[in-house]
Amino acid sequence: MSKILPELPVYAKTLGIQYAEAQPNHPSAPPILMLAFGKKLSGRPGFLHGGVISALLENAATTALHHTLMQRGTDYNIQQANVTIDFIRGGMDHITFGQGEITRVGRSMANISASLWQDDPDRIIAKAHMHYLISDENEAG
Amino acid sequence: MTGKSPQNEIKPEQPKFDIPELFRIFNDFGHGGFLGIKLSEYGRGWAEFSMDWREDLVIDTKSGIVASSAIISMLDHASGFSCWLKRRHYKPIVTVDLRVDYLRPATPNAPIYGRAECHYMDERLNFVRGIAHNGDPEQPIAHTHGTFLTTPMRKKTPA
Repeated sequence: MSKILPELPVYAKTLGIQYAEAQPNHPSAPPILMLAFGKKLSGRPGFLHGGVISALLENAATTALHHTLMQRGTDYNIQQANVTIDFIRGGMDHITFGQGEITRVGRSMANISASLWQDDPDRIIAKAHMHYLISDENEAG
Repeated sequence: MTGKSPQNEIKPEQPKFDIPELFRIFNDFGHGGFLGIKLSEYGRGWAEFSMDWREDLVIDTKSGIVASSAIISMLDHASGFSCWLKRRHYKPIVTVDLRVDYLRPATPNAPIYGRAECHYMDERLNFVRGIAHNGDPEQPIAHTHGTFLTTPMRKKTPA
């Protein structure tokens, strides 16, 4: 498994989302993403916008899925079907971290969740679960 | 859930409920302003926002497809607005949850519209459904459904 994770989407980079480690290549745990607060990310003044929270959750989940699928060693395509987001606490003007968690990755579908936290990893500010469709690279339409 | 009629809770005669002004207040700063969200249409209990295609909002430059999260940002905004438009005055709200079903990728280089309708409201709960589309609501990009909580006015909410 020498492949590195795919580049984050342009919009994620626009927001400032990045991998928390320079070379996130742990075999077991899904990579952690991080996001520094900025004025263009606020909803109410001093709080993270719900859409920004959603973006970090979606990217954390997608990263976790890539991380798992890469270990299979075959080419694949993924397509996100849906997402349900719980906004648990207001996101403050601090650094936010996000990590996905694999519930199940099957041949054609994946159930993934993701959580965000700020200063204290035990105080989750938002949680989401998503479904993804998986297809082989060569069978994608 | 109490048996109270929602009408008892809604006080429509509030002074100075200027929707475009409220939109400007909420769009002058922050992520809504950064995305360049515009108020395109609104009515009692619903609002439609629009957002121009921009290369810094896409998933990758090759496909030019706008990232799903940028669409969520706009629909979160529009959903909150639809609650105020139903209540007919501004009261702080927080998003409790938001469900998004992705039907198709957004069309590259096309503006995106997000229409949200608050279909139920009582003194604390607001349920909002929405769609994102590229100009034809019959060809939706995504369906959304959200729960919003009306909160008491206070200066800073503790985390």
